[in-house]
Amino acid sequence: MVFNSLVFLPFFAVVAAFHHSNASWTSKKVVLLIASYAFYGAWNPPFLLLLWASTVLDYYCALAMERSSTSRARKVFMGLSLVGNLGMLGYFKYGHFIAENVSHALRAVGVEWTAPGFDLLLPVGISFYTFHTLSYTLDVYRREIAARRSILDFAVAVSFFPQLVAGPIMRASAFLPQLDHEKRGSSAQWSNGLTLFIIGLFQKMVLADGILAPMVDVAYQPDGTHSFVDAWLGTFAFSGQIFFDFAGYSLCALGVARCLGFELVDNFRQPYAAIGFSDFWRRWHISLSTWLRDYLYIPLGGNRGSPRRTEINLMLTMLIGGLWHGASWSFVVWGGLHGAYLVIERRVRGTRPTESSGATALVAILLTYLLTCFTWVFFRASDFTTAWQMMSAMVGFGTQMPGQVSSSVRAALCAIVVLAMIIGHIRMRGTHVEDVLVKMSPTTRGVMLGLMLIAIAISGGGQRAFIYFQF
Amino acid sequence: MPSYISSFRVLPHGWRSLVLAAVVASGFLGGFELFWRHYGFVPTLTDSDSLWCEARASVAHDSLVILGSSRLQTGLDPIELSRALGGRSVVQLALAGANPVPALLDLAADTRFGGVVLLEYMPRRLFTSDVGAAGRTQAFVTACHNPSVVAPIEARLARVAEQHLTLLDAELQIVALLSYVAHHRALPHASHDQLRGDRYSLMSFPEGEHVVTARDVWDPPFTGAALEARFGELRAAIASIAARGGKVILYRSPVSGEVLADEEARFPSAIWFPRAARELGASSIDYAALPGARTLDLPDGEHPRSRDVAEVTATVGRALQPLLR
Repeated sequence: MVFNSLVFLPFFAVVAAFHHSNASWTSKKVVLLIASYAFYGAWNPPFLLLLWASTVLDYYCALAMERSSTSRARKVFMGLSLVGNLGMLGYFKYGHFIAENVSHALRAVGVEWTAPGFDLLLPVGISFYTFHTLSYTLDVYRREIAARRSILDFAVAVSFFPQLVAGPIMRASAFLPQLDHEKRGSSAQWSNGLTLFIIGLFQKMVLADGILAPMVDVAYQPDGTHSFVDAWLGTFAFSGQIFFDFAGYSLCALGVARCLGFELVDNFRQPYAAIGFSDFWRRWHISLSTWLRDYLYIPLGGNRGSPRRTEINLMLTMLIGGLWHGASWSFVVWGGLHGAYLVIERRVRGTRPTESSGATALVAILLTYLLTCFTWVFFRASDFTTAWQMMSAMVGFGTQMPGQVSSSVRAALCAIVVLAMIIGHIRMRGTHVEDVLVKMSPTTRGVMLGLMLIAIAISGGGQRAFIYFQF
Repeated sequence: MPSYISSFRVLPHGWRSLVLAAVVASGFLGGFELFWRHYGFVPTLTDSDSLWCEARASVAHDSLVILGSSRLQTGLDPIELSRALGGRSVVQLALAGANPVPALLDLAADTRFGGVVLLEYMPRRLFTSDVGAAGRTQAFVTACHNPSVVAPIEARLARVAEQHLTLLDAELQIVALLSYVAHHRALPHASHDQLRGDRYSLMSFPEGEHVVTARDVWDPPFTGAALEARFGELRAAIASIAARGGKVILYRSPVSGEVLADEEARFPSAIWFPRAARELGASSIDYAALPGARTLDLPDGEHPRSRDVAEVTATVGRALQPLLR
């Protein structure tokens, strides 16, 4: 089920009605769990088995770790959790990719071996809930939180439907305590939550799907002819599409959770106003970047070793971060480029803080944005050939044919949306969307939300899946 | 609570804003709906993958399935064709802007299907790579094979909304509307296209309207081995259906004006149509050559006016009868 579907409305109405009834907190949690499984199972019910397997495995591993008296036993159970979770993720998400690459590598040394067919559907959101549950066992292993006795609480935390399939990736330490006491959305939370939900839907259905996505689809057609203007316009449009798609989903998730009385983590803070790439990763998909920082980069040694070691740690983290997005070398290249940017930035700037102001800041923001766009090409292109064609076109070696996309009304709309997005990010650089909403007069806010509702109704955005569902 | 948790800010007069938003939205959308209805628009369905999958699921063992592009989706009425064929089940799977080959391959692989396929002969679809249009059909086929549990419920809810609200018409969606107005400096014509629940699309061009739609961009035509491979692929699919007692009939729909001239220049029909039928071992029907077929007024060179479709369908139905015996 997706937020931008008609069926979500009655679903949420029923869940919210029960959640605000006089039933006991335990029965409300049971209903939340059932609703979350229904939300997830609506795609493909057998995928629920994986979710259950992950839940049960980590619940018992955490309990066993806590009860273990020796460090060796704790390591065994932690290893079991890692192998179990990453094994499922690896099999379903990377099985085909690994087998194909092994096959290529063997062929290169003269061994003929055909990879077995992996005709598997990728379980929706498996990367998200795997990281979500792993944060629990890792925190218990590091004795940062206590293992939960209630499997109901843990199952609700893993499967809580607003954040289950595309995040934000909630840490167990942030979500589990919210289940200790009864939650119900206050009147203020409801109005705030619905406001965020409308803005999120507007970003997704109108800006990402209605205006930007069709343009990106044309610009990134495999074997398409790519002119300089089309390639840049298509890539700028994709920078907006992926932002509004994912940030829109995150706002919807935040809003829905808030209506039920829960708080999730912020996932975006005006990322295209970033000055440099370390700043970018503090603003883009924050729940993933902080996860990678805390559970991968720092355990690898972080910046505690030599500069060379720090750079290796950065590159490794970003390469794995890239691979997290999808089983394809193009995602690895995307992550690798971001890693390289971080390394170069670190060398150029040393350990000085990122803040600057005035014209220098503006130039740095635009440079960061342009490099980010250039790197998005690998994220969006369906294969390396298309990516190469797009990049060639972007540096002036594209076709001289008249552009397929640059002469349309849609192109003008895309340009306006992307420009407005960048200006908006720069102007709101130091603030939060909610701060802006608080400062607005109720009338202005009401008219703005009304216009958004109108645009949603006549956007033609349809039900395009959220981009991050595939991860 | 950890500091990185989103901190909740109370919006001053949050509910007042939401009520105002609802009033603004419902006022505008109500006016929008009334305006377009007054202008002549009527509610129509969206040709979504769920509607296509529903039609695909209704294909019975001996159904007659229409495969093609908008030319057949607007040019053959399933109800009329069923009537002409003595009540035989007719399913409309033609899809505007799409290539029928992936749908034909899907039917060929469906062991439950042993009926008749009326396959549109359109050379730019059958004998070029036509990647984009083929991808559109393939996406629909894939969606039918991997349905989500809620897809039918969602489709039903969407249909109820579309049947009652003109503002959901694809032509009135914000980008389409702006594009049309910017291009034509006028509002779109009323009820250009109305989709029925059985996916038959009614085209009602305004009187006197003639538009040129000859394509200036064609995918490169197949030649040599690529053409042979395409023939082979289609032959194999047709043989699979024939092995189950079914058959595939090539149908060349009426075409005129610049569209016809364009097609004739690239794929002369006198050569290509009989060659395609021969290579594929399929029966064929050329509307223009049918007894009783009159020269139709095709406003855009390829889509008949809906008022003519019953007659076209009846003519095709008569031509089909001997081929189905």
